[in-house]
Formats: sequence, structure tokens, C-alpha cells
Amino acid sequence: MKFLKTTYRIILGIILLTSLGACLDELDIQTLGNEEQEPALVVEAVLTDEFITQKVYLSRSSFRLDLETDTVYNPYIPLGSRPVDSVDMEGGATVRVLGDNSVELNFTEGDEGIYLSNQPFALEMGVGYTLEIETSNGLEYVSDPLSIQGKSELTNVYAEKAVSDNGAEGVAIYVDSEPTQGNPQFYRYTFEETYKIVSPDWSSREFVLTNYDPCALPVPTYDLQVVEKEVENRVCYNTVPSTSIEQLSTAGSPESHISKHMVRFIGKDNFIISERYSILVQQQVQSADAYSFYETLNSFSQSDNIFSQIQPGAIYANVRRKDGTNENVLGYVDAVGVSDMRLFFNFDDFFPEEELPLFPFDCNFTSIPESHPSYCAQFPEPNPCPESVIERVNIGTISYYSPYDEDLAPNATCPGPYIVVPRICGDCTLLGDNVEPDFWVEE
Amino acid sequence: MTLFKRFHCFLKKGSLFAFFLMAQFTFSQNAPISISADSKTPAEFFQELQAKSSYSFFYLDDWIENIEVEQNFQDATVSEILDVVLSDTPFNFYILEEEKRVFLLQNTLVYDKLPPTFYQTKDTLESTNAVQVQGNMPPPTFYNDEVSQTTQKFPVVRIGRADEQNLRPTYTLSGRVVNAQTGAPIPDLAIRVGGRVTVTNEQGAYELELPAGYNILSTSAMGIQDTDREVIMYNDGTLNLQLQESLEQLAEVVVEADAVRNVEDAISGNEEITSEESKDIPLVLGERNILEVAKALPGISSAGEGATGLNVRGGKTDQNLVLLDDAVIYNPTHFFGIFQALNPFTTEKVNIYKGAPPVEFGGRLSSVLDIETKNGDTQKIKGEGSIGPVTGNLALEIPIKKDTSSIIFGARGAYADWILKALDEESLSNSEASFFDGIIKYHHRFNENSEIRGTAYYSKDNFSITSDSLYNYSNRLGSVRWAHKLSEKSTGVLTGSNSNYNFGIDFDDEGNSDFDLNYAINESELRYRLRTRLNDAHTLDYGLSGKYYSVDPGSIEPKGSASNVEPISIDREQALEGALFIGDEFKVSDKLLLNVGARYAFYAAMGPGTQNTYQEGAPKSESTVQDTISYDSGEFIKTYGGPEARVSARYLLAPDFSVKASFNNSYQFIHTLSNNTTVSPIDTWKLSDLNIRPQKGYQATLGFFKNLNENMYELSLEGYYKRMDDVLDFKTGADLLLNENVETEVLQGQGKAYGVEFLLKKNKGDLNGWLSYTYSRSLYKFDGETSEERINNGEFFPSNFDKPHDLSVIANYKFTRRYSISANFVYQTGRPITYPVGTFRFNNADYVTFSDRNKFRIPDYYRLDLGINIEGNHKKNKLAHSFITIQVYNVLGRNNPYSVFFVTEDGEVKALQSSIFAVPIPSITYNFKF
Repeated sequence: MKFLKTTYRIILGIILLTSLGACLDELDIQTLGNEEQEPALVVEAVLTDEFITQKVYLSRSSFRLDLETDTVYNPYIPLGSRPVDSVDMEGGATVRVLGDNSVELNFTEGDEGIYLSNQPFALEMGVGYTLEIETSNGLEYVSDPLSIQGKSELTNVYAEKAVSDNGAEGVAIYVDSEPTQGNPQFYRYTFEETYKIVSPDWSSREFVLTNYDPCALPVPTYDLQVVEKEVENRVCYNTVPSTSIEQLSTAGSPESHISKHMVRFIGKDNFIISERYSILVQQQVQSADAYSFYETLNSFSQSDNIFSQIQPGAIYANVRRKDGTNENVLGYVDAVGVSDMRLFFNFDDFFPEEELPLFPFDCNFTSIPESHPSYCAQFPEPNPCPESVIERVNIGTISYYSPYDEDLAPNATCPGPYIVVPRICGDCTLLGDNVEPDFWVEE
Repeated sequence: MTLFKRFHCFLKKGSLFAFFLMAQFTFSQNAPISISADSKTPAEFFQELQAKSSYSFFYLDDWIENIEVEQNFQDATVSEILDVVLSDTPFNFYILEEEKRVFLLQNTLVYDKLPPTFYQTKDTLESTNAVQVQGNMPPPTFYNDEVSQTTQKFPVVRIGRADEQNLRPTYTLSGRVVNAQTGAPIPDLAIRVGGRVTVTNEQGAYELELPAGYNILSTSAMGIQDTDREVIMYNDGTLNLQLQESLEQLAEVVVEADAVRNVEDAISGNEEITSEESKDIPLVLGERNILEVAKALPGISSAGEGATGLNVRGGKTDQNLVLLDDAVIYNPTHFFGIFQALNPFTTEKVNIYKGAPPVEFGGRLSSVLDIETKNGDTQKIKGEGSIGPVTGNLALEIPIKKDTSSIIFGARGAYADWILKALDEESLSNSEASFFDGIIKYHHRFNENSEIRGTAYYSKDNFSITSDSLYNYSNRLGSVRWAHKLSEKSTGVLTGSNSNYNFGIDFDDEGNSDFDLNYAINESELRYRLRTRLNDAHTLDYGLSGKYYSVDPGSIEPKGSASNVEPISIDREQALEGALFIGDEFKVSDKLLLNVGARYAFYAAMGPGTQNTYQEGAPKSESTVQDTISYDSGEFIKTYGGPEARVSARYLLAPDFSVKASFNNSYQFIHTLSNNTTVSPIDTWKLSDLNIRPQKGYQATLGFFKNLNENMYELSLEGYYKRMDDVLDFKTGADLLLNENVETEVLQGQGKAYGVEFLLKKNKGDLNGWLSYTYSRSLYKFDGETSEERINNGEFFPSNFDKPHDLSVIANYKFTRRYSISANFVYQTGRPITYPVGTFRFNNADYVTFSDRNKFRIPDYYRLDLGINIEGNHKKNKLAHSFITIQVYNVLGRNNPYSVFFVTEDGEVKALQSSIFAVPIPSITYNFKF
């Protein structure tokens, strides 16, 4: 054994790791814009081969980076406290679409920056179109030639129980489609989802406050009544357009039928599917150029991988100044062949006998004093009680639930004569429209 | 027994080795003896001989141990028997007839006459003995054991057996020097005797003329313990030396660059790091990483921690030629660059050339990283292993034939999944990552003039960021190298290698778009390099190399029958690259050394294939295709090439102070396509073709090098200016993967980089390490004819890795023999990024609009790592020798931003900052050795 004097060296690494620190932090965005620069014109239009009133949106980019937006439902920002949408719309422009078959289609401004075609029209395959814009300051813009690449019919839109990339359980919405015309290769999917909302703590009665004077002495004066509701606010419907970019390419494939392409995934805990849910999927057959524009836009606005970041840069619209001056225009104008299909489902179609997703707001029952000391008392005494019923009814943040019941609000510090809930829990009109949409079909 | 006792007494007096006997010498007519050696040990044989001959024999037991006694003697005299028995040994004998004594003598002779000059008179009565012809016969050799005892570490070596017939004033000593640990020859070892120095050649061989008698050889070489060897020359002979590595020095954190070399070499801008050195430097998770250590040297950086690829002197990451035992390794890292893909136990060292590289290398603009694997030990089996939190590692060295051939084998596997799980990043919580690398190297030494080695290497990474796609990439390479001596002055090295890199994406989700995507590049090279030492002033390096590339730029295949993904396969690209090179190291004077080299690089893109031509003056796009040309198999599509210069000069202002200047230019025919700000493992390599031109680079340097305090400190200041032409970038949002006409997305522009590098190293002492500071800029310009072919309006803009200030300090302090601490500090200017300057509403959501490329910078980067190394006690007879390394990465817990980026979520823009290691990361490694 002596000659086999082997040296073994074994290293045991013991690591005291509680956690590894790779992380993503959200930063405050500061304004870094070059103030000397003019805000850029933003053009957005998806012209289709459907016979409808076509729309063109014009706006300006903003140097501010701290934009909040109200275009999307955000359950955590109750109505009234949402910031004002700060998009700077571009009004007063002249917009028209010219076809190379000498068609001229004019648009008229509706809401500021939204231009609607004077009459419904559908783009035709085989015709080249350009969009022309003259802004109110007299500058003329023209888009690259646009044409419909083809048409593909959605044959099925369906939902299945699925597990997401992140391992979350939920419902996936898939589409199947068959090409019918031309040579469709590039697809974009947009959708509009509508969901039913039922107020969780709805009561058929409500507060009515009149003659309120919080400054009256010695105590505020008011008339508070509890009356039967006249407005339906138990069941509402909310409709939200898609905000993400969902694309598919079948380039290189001779037959471009699509089967089981997922366009939307909804987590099981998302309350939008707690009642009845509907989605209208639109498939757009687009050009290669449009496809790569949206892909790039998308890749610049999401993080796939924290280890390697895509080199971002400015991406400009297919719209330029008519006189050839160098000016950067943002946005995109696209001509697409579309096909729509709607789907409905209920939560228990996929998760029978499972708990519904939580309502995204805290709906605690509370009991609070009906009134409060006068605002104008000369020697105000400290008030240990929370904001009173009349104050809150006055600013519209509570809903009536029932007369006081100790079992419902056992920990109330200054109980009053009523049990109340945050308004959003008893009034669904804060979250949607109380009129059933025309397309809505109950089971 | 008394006999031997007496002998021992004699020994103690300390004068055994020199007899000076004046006794009369007569050949006795001693009685014939018959003696048989059959199955006798030498001791038994001599005892029997003593008994039968009635002579008393004087010798040491261990002298005769190895004497082979095989013959049988019939009626032979004692002297006849001893003549035969001792013929092939270093022993002489002397018979003192009168006293009936026989003395065995180690090496020496018994001079039975005084030297002729002893009485200053000529002895006319000289017999016809051989001594007569030795007019200048050297005096007999005396050696006093006790006197030299103080300096003696190694036993005195006696060379040759004195031959009365051939006594000379000088004898030739030759031999070979090998590393005692690895058995590898030690070249360039200086052997000093008195004032004379000789140097071992590449096979570790040397030859010396030494005066007869006692000499001291002093050896010194980089990384090898200095030794003094005492030799007594009795005749020509060989002395092979096995030298220990200088272990104490290696335990310190020092970049091994021979102190003298720093000042005296003509080539500047090269560094050597040994794997052993990197072991104490605290790095993430205690994993040794030679490439990470390289980044602490001036002029070498990367885009950020966790970024794959090195940026050398402002060059792009694809401009580095990374060689593992002569074969190109395309991705030497695992796991997004956090770990090296090289086994630290089998890696010997890496040589990095930032300036003008040796003429044999070419094909990349910025640097050469020449990584060498250890030779296995040829003496005994050795093993090293580790079990870490991230990797398990095993390396074995197995001798095949003692002193001749050996195998070294290393394998490493990782189980990094849990790290991803631990990351505080939801999108990664379902990720997985694992990697593996294995290497095997065989080394065989035929003789002093020829040796061969072969290496095979494989590495593989698998990772998935989302549960539906599995990424993988792998390196595979093999190389064979035959080094041989053609003549006294010429050596040749023949190298053949093959490398392969591929990656794939395996996409599998619930829809019908499942696919497999694959990319592969393969290259084979044959190279023959010769070196001829013409004379003291000129050493020539010359040779030729040829390389064949084949690239499969990508294929996508449907996976499963339900998938409606259409298979696409982009045509294979092929090319030849060749070079002829010659270089001369020309010693003009003692002060001026020139290294002049020229290289002719040739490249041909080969068919079969098709290439598009585009309208002049218009941006390349599918709509401006003019013509599509088809090429037959083997037909040259396009050739490129040109001369490359490698010139460097050193002038010694003082023995420890020199000024060096260099100029070099180079061509690069292969490019990475990446639209990431940092390198990603799925970046593809593209060969130059009809539409994509090779990159060209030019670099000039000037530097001052000074050693202080007997080479304890090394100080250098070097500046460089570099220009690059036809470097690649891409149109915004380019789609590079599976693109049949990649040239429509490619921009080719100009780069320039300049900087000043300062390095202070302390190589010796309890405190050692280095401080490096670099001020540098790296700028690029893409000025095409149309706006989409311009970046930042055609102005120069900083690259993603432009970090003007870069400071690194690596220090190691030894408190006692057992305790030492190491520290690693890095400060860098934050890297440039492209930042949003505004937002716009589109598609019901807000999007950002970006600034000019790289107009802003992320916050500065700094990090401190600390490590404590505790050696186990040094008791000799302990079962296991152990040491513990405790390291903390990012002690300050600095949340260094890796990148800042912007996402649109729920229609809103959010700015996110990512960091890879934002908290201190402690690790403990326990090592033991037995």
C-alpha cells in the first residue's frame, strides 16, 4: 500500500445561505426627457376588412414617465381617486384614407384625438391604401402603403383548465383558425373581455342624506334616511380591452391553419372569472412589417430574463412627413383581415365546488357613529371615534348594509345605529355598468 | 561485525570519502577463489567473499544493496572478481595488500601517488601509469561532509565513476529537470554554477561543463522552489532533478509573472494566472473562477456580474480567442457567466494576451486566452475532489507508465436548481438550471525529444426560465499536440483540434407550437509551428495553420404530432481560414530586444450556398435584393485576407526599468450575432460572407515597467489606442435567430478604444496582492446611408461596457502560518444604458420611447469580498491535512444594479432594476487532504 500513496483531497463546501440576493426592484421613474425636443406625434390605427366605422387615434408622446392610466381596470384604485388620464390627445387634424383604386375615405373627429370614418367601410384585398394626416399646425404626414395580406377565419375559441408558465392554475383560452383568402402568415390577437360583477355585500336599501350642515352649532344638522334602492347596483358588467401584444407567426409553413393557440390565461384567483365571463377574440392577419414592429415593441417592454437584456432603442411608426423632413413619428398604422368570435364560461365550469376567487377589496362590516361634533365648534373636543356615517355618505365611500348587529361588527369602538360596508362592496357600479350588454347570454 | 563498526567510526570522523594513502601498492598474487552468486544477496556475497579470500572488506551496507551479483567465478582473484562485480557501479576498490584489506570506494579513486607537483619537483621515477598523460590532472577531490552540512538540503550527488584512464579537468553533466508533482519537464530553469548560467530547454533538458570535483548547482525558475544541489564530478554523467513547485508562493494571491520577465520581455500586455492562485480569492459561492480573477487585471472587464464574456481593452466579447489546450472553446462559462466552465483542479493556468499576441495566434481582434490543462502526475495516483453548494467536482491523476505517461481526468456537475428557487424573483421560481463539464487529458513522453498529449472536453448547460422552454448549450472539443525536437536548435509543435458549440431550445407548452430549435458551429484546425534558435541574437518562430468552419445557423422542427410549426433549416455555412506566420525575437543589444512578426491571414467563404446582392446605396432589405447567386460545393463565395503585423520592442533604461512599445493589426472573420446588451448563451456565430465583411483591428501601446526593492514590487503603466473597423451591430429590434438574410439586420461600423492601465503588484511577503486601475473609453460609431442604418445619428457612442474608471484591489495577508485573510475590492463606473425619455399611449397601454443609444449610465458598481483561510495544524503525522476557507461575497451588501429596464404591465410603464447578488453571500469551504 505504500507505493499507492494516494493523496485524496476532498473539499466539502458548506454554504450558509439564507437566501440569494438576485432581485428585481421597482425604481421611481424620473423625468429625463430632453425638454427642447417637441413631443412626437403618435398615430394608432388598425384598419380592417370589416364593414364598420373605422377609427384613427392621434396623440402626442409625453416626456413624463410617471404616467398612470385609467384605460385599464385596476381594482386597487377605487373610482374617484384615480389620477386623471394624462394622454395628450391631438385634436383638430384632418385624416383620410386613400386607396390606389381612387377611393377616398374621410374621417371626422369625435372625442378629442379620435377620428371616425364618415361612413362605415371595409378595406378590400388587393388594394393598396395610405393614411394621410394633416395636423392642426399644418404639417402633413403620410403612412407607408398598407394592404390586407389575407384572411383567416376563427373556427373555434375555447377555454380549458390549464397551468401557466409560472405554475399557477387557471383557465387558458385557445383559438383555432383556418385561412380562407390570400396568404396569412402573421397573426395578432386582441380581445375584449366582459365579466359579470355581483356586489358581495349588497343590500336592497340605501342611505339618503339631505340638509347636511356639518358646521351647524351646537351639532351638525342633517336628514338621514334609509330607503329602498331605486338603482340596480347588485349586478354589473365590466368590459376591458386587451393591453398586451399577443402574436403568432406561421411563416414558412405552406398551410397556415392554427390549432390550439393560447391567447389569454386567467389565474384561478382572478376575480373577473368569479361570476360569468365572456371574451371576444379578434384575430388579425397582419403584414410581416407589422409583426416585427409589434414584436420589437413587446420585447422592449417585458423582461424575459434578468440575466440578458435586449438592447432597446427607438422604434418609429410607418408614418413619415410628406415633404421628406426628418421627424420621428411613433405608433403604427396597420391594415388587417379580421375574424371575431365570442366565448362565455362560468367559474364552476372549470372549478366546480371550489371557492370563488376573493373579491379584491376588503369588505369589513363596521359600525360607526351616525353624527360627529360640529366642524365649527369654538372649543373642539378630541373625538376618539372614526369618521361618521353622515360624513362618509356625504363623500360617497360607504354603502348601507343593515341595522346595527353586534355579531357583525364586534370590535366597533364607537358603534352607531347601522352596519356599513365600503361602498364598492355594496355598489357594483363602481366597477362596471349596470346594464346588461346586448351580446350577453346567460346560460 | 567489528569490521563494520570500525567503518562506522571512520565515518564519524568525517573523512571517509577521501583517502590519501601513501602506502606502497603492489598487485598481489592473491589466491584464486571460486565463488558463486546464485541466489545470494549482495551482502551475503560479500561476506562469503571476505571469508573465502581472507581479506577484510570495508564498505557501507547500503552501497552494496543495489549491486547486482549474478556471475559465478572459478579460480578468480579478488581483484578480478571485484572488477566484474563493480563494473557497472559507481564503485572503485582499493586493495591494501600488506594489511589484507579491501576498500570499496564510492566514486573516488585511491591516489596511491602524490600529484606530480606535490613536492614541486618532477618525479622522474614515474611509472608508466596513466597518470603520466595527465599533465594537468586535477587535484583529487576532497569533500568535507561537516563543513557543508549547514547549507545542505539534499544529499550530495556523486556523478560518474572516476576512470583512471580518463581523468579530465572538466566533465559534462547533463540531465533533465521535471516537476516533482506532475512529472512535467521544467523549461527555462536557470542552473547557475559559480558565475555561469545555463537554461533548460522545452523538454527540461540541460547540459553543463563542470570542473571536476565539488560544485554547487543553484536552480531557479518561476513557480519552482529554488534549490542548491551539491555535486561531485568524477566523470561525465547525468543528473536528473525533480523539483518541487514553490508551494509557499502559490498559496499567496499573486499573479505569477516572473519578476524579471515583467521588465525584460519584449511583449507587453500579457498576464498569466494559475488556477491555484485563484483559490483564495473570495468569489461568489466559493467557486474558483480564473476568468473572474482575470477581470481584476487592468484592461479586462465585463458588462456586469453575471454577464457572459470578457471585454478586453474596449473590444467586444466576440473578439477573444479562448483556447483550451489549443482548441477553441466558444463559451467557457456556465450559468449565464457566473461560474467558469473549466475544472479548477485540472486547469494549470491561463495566459492572457491583451497586446500583440504571439504570431501563431490570430483570428480575433482583442485578446487571446490560452488555457492550459495540467499534465497528470507520472509518479503516483493523485486525486482532488470537492462537494460544494453548487458543484460536485472530482479530478484524478493516474500514471500509466512511470515517468512517461499519465492521464488526468476531471468531472464537475452542478445542481443549481435550488439557487433559482431561492432567488427572490417570481418569474424564476419555476426555473431550473444544471450544468456539467468533463475533461480528460493524456500525456506521453516518448523521450527527451518528443512528447504528445491529447485532450477531450465536454460541457453542457441546461436551463429553463419558464416551464415551457428548456434551453441547453454545450461545448465539445478535442485536441492533439505533438512536440518534438528536430535538431539541437529547432523544435516543432504539431497541433490538431476540433471544437463544437451548439445550443438548442426545446419548447413545449399546451398549444400546438411546440418545437426544437438547434444551432451548431464546428471548427477543425491543423497547425504546425517551428522554433529555431539561429544564434544568440535571433530566435525564429514560424509555421502555418489551416482551419475549416462549418456552421448550422439554425433549424426549427415541430415537436410532437400536434405541432403545426413548420420545419425551417437555414443552409449550412462553410469557410476556410488559413495563416502563414513568421516571427523573430531579435536581441539587438543587451538593452534593446525586438519581437518582429508577420502573419498573412486568409479567409474564404465556401459554397454550397446562396447569397443575395443588394442595390447599391439602398439599405439591405428583402425589398432591395438585386440578385440571388448560387454557389456550388467547394466554390469560393468570397475571399478576404491580408497581412498582420506583430511588432514589439523593449528597451532597458536600467536593469529593472524598461520601456516597451508595440503595434499589431488583425483580422477577424467570425462574428457573434447578439441583440442583447450582454452576451446570452443563445447568441449565434456568423461567418463572414459576400455581405458581411471581416472585422479589422489595429492597436498601438506604450508602457513603462519597473521593479522595485529586489523585485518585491512590480509597477507598470501602459497606454493603448485601438481602432476597429467593420465591427457588427444590429438594427433596432433585429431578429437574428433563424434569419435567412441576417445581413439585412446587420450594421457594420467603427470602434475606437483607448486607455491607461496602472498595475502595482507585491509578490512577496506576508502582505501580497495587487492594485490595478484603468482609465479607458470604448466608443462605437455606425454611420450608414439611411437613418435605419445609423445609430445616434452616426456619432460615436459609448459601448455597453464602457466603464471609464475601473479599480481592483486584491490583497492577501498572512498573520501566521495558519491564518490568512484575503480581500477583493472592485469599483467601476456604472455601465451605459439606453434610457426611456418619454411615454406614449398605444394599443390601450403606455409604452416608452427611448433615448439615444447608451446616453445614460446606471449607478456605479462597487463590491468588497472577504475571505479567511485557516490552515489545519502542521503536525506531520496527522491523518488529514485540512484547511477552511470562509468567504463572504459582497460584504457591503451593495445592491449593484445589473440593468435597468422598463416593462409595460397592465398598461402601465414600470422601471425595474435588476441585480444579481444584492446581499452578502457567505460560504464556508472545508478542504482536507490525506
